[in-house]
Amino acid sequence: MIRLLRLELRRMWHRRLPWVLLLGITVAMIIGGGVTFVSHDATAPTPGDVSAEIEAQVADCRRFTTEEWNAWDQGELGDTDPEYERYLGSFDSADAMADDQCNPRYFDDEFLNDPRFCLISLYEPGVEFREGCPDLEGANVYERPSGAIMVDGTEYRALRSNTSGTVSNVSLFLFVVASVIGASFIGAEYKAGTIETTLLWEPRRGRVLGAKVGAAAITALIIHMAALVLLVAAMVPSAVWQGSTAGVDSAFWFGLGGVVLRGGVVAAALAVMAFSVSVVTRNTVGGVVVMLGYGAVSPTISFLLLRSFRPFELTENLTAFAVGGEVGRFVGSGFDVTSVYSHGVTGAAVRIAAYVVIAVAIALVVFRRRDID
Amino acid sequence: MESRGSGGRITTPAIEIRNLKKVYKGLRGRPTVAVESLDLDVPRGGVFGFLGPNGAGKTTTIRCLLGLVMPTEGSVRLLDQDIPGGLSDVMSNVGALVESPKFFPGFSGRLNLELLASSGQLDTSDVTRALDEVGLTDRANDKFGTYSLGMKQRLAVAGAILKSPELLVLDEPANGLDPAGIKDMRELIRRYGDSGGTVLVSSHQLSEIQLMCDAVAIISRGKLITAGPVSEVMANHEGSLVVVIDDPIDAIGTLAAAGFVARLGGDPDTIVVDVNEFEAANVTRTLALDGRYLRGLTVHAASLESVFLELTSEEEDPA
Repeated sequence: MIRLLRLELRRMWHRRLPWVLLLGITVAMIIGGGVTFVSHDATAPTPGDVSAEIEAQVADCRRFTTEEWNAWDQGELGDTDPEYERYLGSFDSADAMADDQCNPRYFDDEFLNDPRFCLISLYEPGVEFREGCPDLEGANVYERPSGAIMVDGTEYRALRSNTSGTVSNVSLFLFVVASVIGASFIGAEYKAGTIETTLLWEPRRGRVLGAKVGAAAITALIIHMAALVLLVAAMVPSAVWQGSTAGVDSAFWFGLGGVVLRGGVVAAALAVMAFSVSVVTRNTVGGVVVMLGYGAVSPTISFLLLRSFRPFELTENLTAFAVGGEVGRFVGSGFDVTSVYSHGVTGAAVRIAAYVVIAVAIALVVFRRRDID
Repeated sequence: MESRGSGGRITTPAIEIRNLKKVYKGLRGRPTVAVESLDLDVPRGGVFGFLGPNGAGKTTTIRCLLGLVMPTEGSVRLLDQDIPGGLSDVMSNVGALVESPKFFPGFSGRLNLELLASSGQLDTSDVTRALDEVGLTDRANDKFGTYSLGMKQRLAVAGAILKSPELLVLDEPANGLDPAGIKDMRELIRRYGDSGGTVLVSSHQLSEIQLMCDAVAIISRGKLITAGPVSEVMANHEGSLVVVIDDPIDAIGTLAAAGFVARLGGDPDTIVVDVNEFEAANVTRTLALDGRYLRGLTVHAASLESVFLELTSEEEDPA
């Protein structure tokens, strides 16, 4: 089997597909890294700048509002709309009206555009901005689920186009690539007819299938991890010269390495499942279409029709495993549902492994019984 | 069962087929019977021709032999191993080319063979030898997709002989080859047979089969029609004499009275007499004694082609 596995890997080494994919990914990463680097806006206001501006607007608002209320209270406002009179009378003091009128969040239509690249938030969506981002050092900063950033209690909406979840988001695209790799491993052989030639030399179909499954998994794993390493490498210049690498320590790299490795394992699992589907359909397209179609449709179906299935739904478990998150189960009814914790990375791994084993078992049965003609 | 003759040589057939049946189940419509109760033995050593019209079941039979297709009924043994159970024990001694060459078009001819060789734990020197034997050394490093049909066929044969197998199964090996290539292929196959190997070759080029095969089997509609040494298969079919003569119908009557079987030929004033060439003198004498004299006489010796056409047309139209 090892000999056959080496043969399959050698065969893949000589094919164009993996090199075309790697070249495409490399070019895309270089372009992405370049765009990130040059898109830096040195004139963009820092959170402190915007905070000061908003505070000034709040102060103006409070001053005007206080003057308005005091004038009304002293009967100096003149003819006033009765509704407005009733509104003014609903407050006990000028400060009370100012509190109602001049909440800082009424002035946050200024985007906090901070394109400096903070490497720290590269891989964990929703992470707290740590003291590593210099301009925010010492401030009490955190990100709300909506994506807004709170700076010392003041809420700012923030554009974070190139920061958190970059690795995770790119991984989603790379998972499609992994499906193509896996499906083509057997689809190309059926198309060229070389599966017949292979079986004339190695008639034990189980071994042939096992070697191809192993080679597909290894190839997808390597390409996926190489792509993510290239991604990080492409983003480092932005962090070093345009942003911040403060706080990038061994713990950061260990965590990032974990995401890259888990993403590679997910890619391998997807490649094997796409391969298994293509064994049944006897072409590459079938495997790719089924995998993409499942990914597009299944989460919606599990929400609308099969809510109890969610903890076992493949895409939920793949995502949780890749990003180091968790899978929830739905509680509630109708559209009034919430998600509560079901299981984490380990549980996701077990479920993914079950899917892979079932897919390969079906492929093995079909492959063993099928006539090659 | 394996048995040995005098001198310790194995005398069991290289291929034993018993009651082989293969039915393809269609998704719609009736199932297709590709092979029906085929019994066949291919003796060890020599070249064995496997003949039949299109759709007779030759390729399906070969695929059953090689484990590519599962028989519906019956049994197959290759080199004393039951197939498909014993395939892994025997395939290192079997080389095959089935229908058309199948290699990766983007890989060179040499690389395609090297990948096969590594799967069979063979040396790259075996690849060089095989390429040389089929005359592809000069184009070995070109991509398979750039090869002509004849070159692709040669590469496929190279793949089949790469293992130096005891049994070679070749389905249309000369397909696409030019006359020189056909001659080379015939000589290669003959060398294999003469050196003790067994070759099962299926081909529509009956003149080539007649030249290189020691024995043949003819199948039609999935059944065996005849099998045996080429000379025996042809011995039952005598050939014919074509006689040009005035009053052919009266001549037929004269010959019939003497016990000859004769009929009108396709051309005017010709009759065909179903006898071999050695009866030409008797035919001539019989007609002359009746005052009928020939204007021309042509001997049509029996050929494998004529035998094949006669047998397969009978099978298709017994009436």
